[in-house]
Amino acid sequence: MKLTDLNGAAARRIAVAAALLITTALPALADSLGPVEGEITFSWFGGQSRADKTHRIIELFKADNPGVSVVEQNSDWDPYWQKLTLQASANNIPCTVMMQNRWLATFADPNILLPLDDYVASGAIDVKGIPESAMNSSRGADGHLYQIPSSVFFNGVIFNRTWLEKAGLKVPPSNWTWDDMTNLLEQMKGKVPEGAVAAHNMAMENDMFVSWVQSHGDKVFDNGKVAFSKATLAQWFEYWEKLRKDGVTDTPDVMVEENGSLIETSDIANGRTFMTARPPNRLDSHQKVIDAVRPGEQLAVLPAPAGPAGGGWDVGSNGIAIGAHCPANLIPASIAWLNFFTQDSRAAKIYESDLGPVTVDRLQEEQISSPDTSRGQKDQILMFRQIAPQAKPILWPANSSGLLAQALSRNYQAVAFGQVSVDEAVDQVFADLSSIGN
Amino acid sequence: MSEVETSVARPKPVRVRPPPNTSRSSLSRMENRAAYWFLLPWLAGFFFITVVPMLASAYLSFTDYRVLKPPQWVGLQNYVAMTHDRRLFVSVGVTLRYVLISVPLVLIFSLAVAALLNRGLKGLAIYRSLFYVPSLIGASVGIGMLWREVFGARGIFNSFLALFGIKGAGWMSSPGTALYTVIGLNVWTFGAAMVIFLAALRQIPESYYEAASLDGANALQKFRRITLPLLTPVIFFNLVLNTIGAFQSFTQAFVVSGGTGGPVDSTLLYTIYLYQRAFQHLEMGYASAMAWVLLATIAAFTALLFWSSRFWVFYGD
Repeated sequence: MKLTDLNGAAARRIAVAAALLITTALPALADSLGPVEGEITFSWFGGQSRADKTHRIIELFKADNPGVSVVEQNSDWDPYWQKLTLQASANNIPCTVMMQNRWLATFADPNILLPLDDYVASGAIDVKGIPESAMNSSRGADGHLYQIPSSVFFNGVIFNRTWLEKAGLKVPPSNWTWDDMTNLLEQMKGKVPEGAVAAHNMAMENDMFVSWVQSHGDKVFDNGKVAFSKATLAQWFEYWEKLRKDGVTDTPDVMVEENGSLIETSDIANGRTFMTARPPNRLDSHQKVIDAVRPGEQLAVLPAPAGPAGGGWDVGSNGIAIGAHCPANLIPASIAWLNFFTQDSRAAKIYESDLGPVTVDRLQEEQISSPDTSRGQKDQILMFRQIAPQAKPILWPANSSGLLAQALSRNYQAVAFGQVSVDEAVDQVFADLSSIGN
Repeated sequence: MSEVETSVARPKPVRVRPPPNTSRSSLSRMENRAAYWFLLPWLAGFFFITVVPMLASAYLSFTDYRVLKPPQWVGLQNYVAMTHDRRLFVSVGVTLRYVLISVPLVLIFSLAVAALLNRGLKGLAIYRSLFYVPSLIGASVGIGMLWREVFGARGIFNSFLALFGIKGAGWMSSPGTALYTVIGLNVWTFGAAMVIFLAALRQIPESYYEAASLDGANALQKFRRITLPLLTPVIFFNLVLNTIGAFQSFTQAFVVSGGTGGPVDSTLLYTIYLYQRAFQHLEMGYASAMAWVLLATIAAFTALLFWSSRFWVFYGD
């Protein structure tokens, strides 16, 4: 018998009973969590600047919760996911971990992460002000909620605004296109300082590639499998090959050496390139380096260009998850930390939008209106608001983010060094990605 | 002649059995027990850190094990899949080139420096230490990163070349030169082999050289006819150790290539590819199979070297 088969009165009675259950039993779950105390571990990814901010927030949290101590575990991006995988395989994933929707499919399993639906329903976890879209991107394939999103991110480029203005050019609008990008870079080619180039070759950059795919009307993944066409990938490689051969981008050997995760040595932060692919939330960290290396120069951000099918922006979310094997007596402290990190105004003021615009609308408003918020943080929040309505969030299959990045890098390098043709490289990328979804 | 007759013809030596000494035998038992207690930490380490993981790896090599899911028995599927893996063959080619070039270079370079230091230089101990230091730090992450900076497209080495008007390439970031730069880093760590050669050179009696000089032998002849033959056991020792080490080489190429084995797989040593399959693709079953194939390959090469040693190693007996 289905609910719809019942007569109106019976259905109403059941609905009232269910509402009573939700409003009485689940708050009881919140009340029965137990005391907020014990030693929990928080593991996150990121560099020193983020580590300093996180440490300050943890100190604040400990001051508010004297019975709780927090062990801090910090790693760079790549080692973080490797470590988390090994911890998960040994059932000792920390009580609280930073998660990202691109990796969620790998870890979204009740044996690895704690499903959080009941804690949200009971009110123990506070999700007030977090958009429904961000909450939905935090669910696993089984429909359960595995992370509470604390920030969102989108794909974009960082460029040197000072060089642009010196060249007599204007900052493009946020709905600029791939053709606009080509024109801009061609114009900047002869106008950058000696030894610098107009652009880092972004053919190997995951974020830019998925924007290209979606802005050309293709899907990146569908039903857990690769869904873009070979033609779309070939056009992507050819787009960058033309710019490389025109002398707009760096040479293949410099392209290979550029390590985007090391901000201090990156070309954009050291005045060696005009434009490169970077998530806009990293503007401030890059600006700090260029302030020291080339005082007076200003960096700025733009979203990834749009294409024939409009913007192709993938909006992702970062959040906090709770390890499935976290002892029951530490769940209250873990939830308290999760709530503090995502909802507390003081924490948000310290963290700003370090991992992308903060999800809670109230905190976003506070950051925009606060005179203490840096220019970079405000810029990215405002830009996010412009692109969010047209964003096309991607459901990343397990382990696909890393595999796509490696396949693009390896095979485009072979093209740039003249070892294979574009078509051969495209075939190889598809062969390399064949394991996704299996 | 029967054994009985032999015993009659040749009187059996009388064995004097020591009188039973209970205190001594109990002391001996106590000493043995103490020895085992002292050995216990090593035995425990050997068992739990070497034997058990090896057995686990052997089992996992017959499974599809994606780390976050329980292993599924697949029989020989991983080993069969290896025969169709294009990148695996690339990594085998890179590794063989690395071994076949770097091992002879390390041996030649370390022997040459050892011979130079054996000429009674003043401050020998200082030189020996200086040349030995790279072998202690060469496999470290820090040195790998330093090497990357020195031989980068904008590195110190190219700045030096620019002084002579030479425009250098990105030595670490060009597929044509990257592997040779890693080999250069490995050769730079020649110190351990050099110290062993130096010790062996100092064991060769001076009288051999004096006799050869009296016969009119020149320096090259003395090296070919005396030094080299007497050094062959040590050359063999260094050859085996360096070959095994080169097959297992990982850190230098991993750090220098940023963990990718690039550019374009030009530094994709077998161990790096194994690491990628294990920790990036999360295919532990496949990676375990790769590890066992590597072990078998190293064993085969080592056996080949031992077999060949009967033709060229001179033990002086």
